[in-house]
Amino acid sequence: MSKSILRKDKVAEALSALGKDSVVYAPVKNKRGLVEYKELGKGASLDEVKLDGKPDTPPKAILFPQTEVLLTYKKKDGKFEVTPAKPDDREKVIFGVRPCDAIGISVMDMVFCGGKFTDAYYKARRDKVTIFSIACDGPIDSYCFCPSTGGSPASTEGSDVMMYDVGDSYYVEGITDKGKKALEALRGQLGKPTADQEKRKEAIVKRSESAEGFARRIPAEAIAKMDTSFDSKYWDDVARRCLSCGACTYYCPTCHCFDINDEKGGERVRTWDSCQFAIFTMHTSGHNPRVVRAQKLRNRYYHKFKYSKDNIGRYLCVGCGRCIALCPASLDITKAISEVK
Amino acid sequence: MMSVKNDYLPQIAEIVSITQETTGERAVKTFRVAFKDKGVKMDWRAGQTCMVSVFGKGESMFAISSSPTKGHIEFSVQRMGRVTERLHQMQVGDELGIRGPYGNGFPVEQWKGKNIYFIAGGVGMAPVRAVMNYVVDNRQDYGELHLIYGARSSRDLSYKAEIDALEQGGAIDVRRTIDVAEPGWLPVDNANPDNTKFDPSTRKFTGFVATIVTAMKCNPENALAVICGPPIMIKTCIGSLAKLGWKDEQIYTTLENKMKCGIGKCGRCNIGGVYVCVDGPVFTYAQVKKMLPDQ
Repeated sequence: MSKSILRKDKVAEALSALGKDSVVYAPVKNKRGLVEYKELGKGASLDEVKLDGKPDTPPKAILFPQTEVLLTYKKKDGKFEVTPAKPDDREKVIFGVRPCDAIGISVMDMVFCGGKFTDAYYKARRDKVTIFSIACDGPIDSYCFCPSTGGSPASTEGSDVMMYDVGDSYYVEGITDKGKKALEALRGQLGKPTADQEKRKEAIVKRSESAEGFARRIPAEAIAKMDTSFDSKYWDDVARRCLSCGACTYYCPTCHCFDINDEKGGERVRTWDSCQFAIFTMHTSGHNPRVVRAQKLRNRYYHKFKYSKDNIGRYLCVGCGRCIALCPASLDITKAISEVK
Repeated sequence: MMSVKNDYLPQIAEIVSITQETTGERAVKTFRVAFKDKGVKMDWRAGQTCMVSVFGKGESMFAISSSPTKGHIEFSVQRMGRVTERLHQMQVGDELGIRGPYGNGFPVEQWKGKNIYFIAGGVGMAPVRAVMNYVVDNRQDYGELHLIYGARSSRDLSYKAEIDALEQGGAIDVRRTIDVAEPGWLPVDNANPDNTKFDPSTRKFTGFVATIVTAMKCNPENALAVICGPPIMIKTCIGSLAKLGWKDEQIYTTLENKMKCGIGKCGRCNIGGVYVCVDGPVFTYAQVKKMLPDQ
């Protein structure tokens, strides 16, 4: 069953079948009209699932919640007791992920599970997640630039199961062992592909390799130029419009910076943080190594395209373009890097 | 279930002694701690750090100020912010959380046979004290030892009795310097350090640490220097050493930045692509020079 067909009118049935052994997350339109990943059966029904288009938010929060209790502490008879929180480690399927976001998860894996230390909370959740992705056929919207960041519209990196839109059906392929195993639960819904469907799928893969039709791109030469432009006044010009609001970091599939604080109720809480915020790097003494906007924005761009390449071997940008689409000041990372001086 | 070690989980430790090193608004206290669970063992290298929890206030990263040769864990903490303010109010018997050790520590194995200049300013003496005591406790492995230690006033020098004892025992040559003249502290000319003349037996000066480094003519031959203190002191001391012919590779320093996780994930202690928490805090000046000017 590693290569099969799922008719689009059977998707709801397939999601129900996956839901027997797992919690299923899929893109759903919320009240404000934004498409976000929701747990199905928990405020979101199967017929609300929206598989066309790019969800407005990446699936990041499923693996790395925006707010998470790490541990609780309480004082009993003058002595402290610390209890680690139990991460949500239910089996999960994330369904309908776009390839850029699947790569985003593999990048987060490198950050949280790579290097000398493994983040136990992230890993506990990650081990139980299976990713069903849908290949794009060229850019999904005008903000996409995945080929500039090492991805492609039909990249299978980070995906356990890959689905290709071949008309009235999805061509479904198990990529990892985990994915192939997950497909066994869908025996009742999957069929055999026809020769025509095979051909359509191959055409998507081929178009993906050509990386054509993208309105935005970052030339490799521009990224190389960053090696010598760290001190450039150019970053002041780019940052002039930036509001340091941090929206880019919140919507980014790979931004992972966080804060840890003790709350009054005896909880130690981890929350998303942003390198764009004023006190992010401020020392207790008041000294702040990155205090002006240009320094903060430059750090984000260099972290995306230079530091991560050195440290984890991959760009920390997957080319989803959400930071461009959602920036209130219309900053465009592709333009900013392409025009580096 | 977690399949790997939970690095965010602190071990409970009790404060077993508190030494008031200095007084005033920015007082320094040394806290000796012991794990409540006697089964918990922590091996560390001088120069490594720990995340210390003051439950309800949060966590802060501190250098371990005791040498691993001493068998006890100490942190010397300056009263500065929310966590340290509460810490300074704590008493013997109060409990903290400790996780670590983190970072690389000083490469003391590579230093065998070398003459060492320890150069410290203010609370920067904390990590220097750890590595200095390690070296003194392995005295036969190292050459000549010098300590040049500066503070704002004679009252702001920490570890007084301990350093006096090392000096009197002949383990190490010690020079102290303060910012504002006090009786018995020889003033040196900060503007003309090269012209500073003093009897080699002088132990107490009034002047910048960098001036003393120049005036002492610290000898780079078969030597290395460990400099910890305020950024301006580090910078000026490196300048003094460079003029005396020291190479960047011979100079070690420790860096610090705001930290939350200590394990290279939270993304705030980076200087360029270098994470101070896991890649540091100990760097040679040659390494520091290669870092992006992200400060």
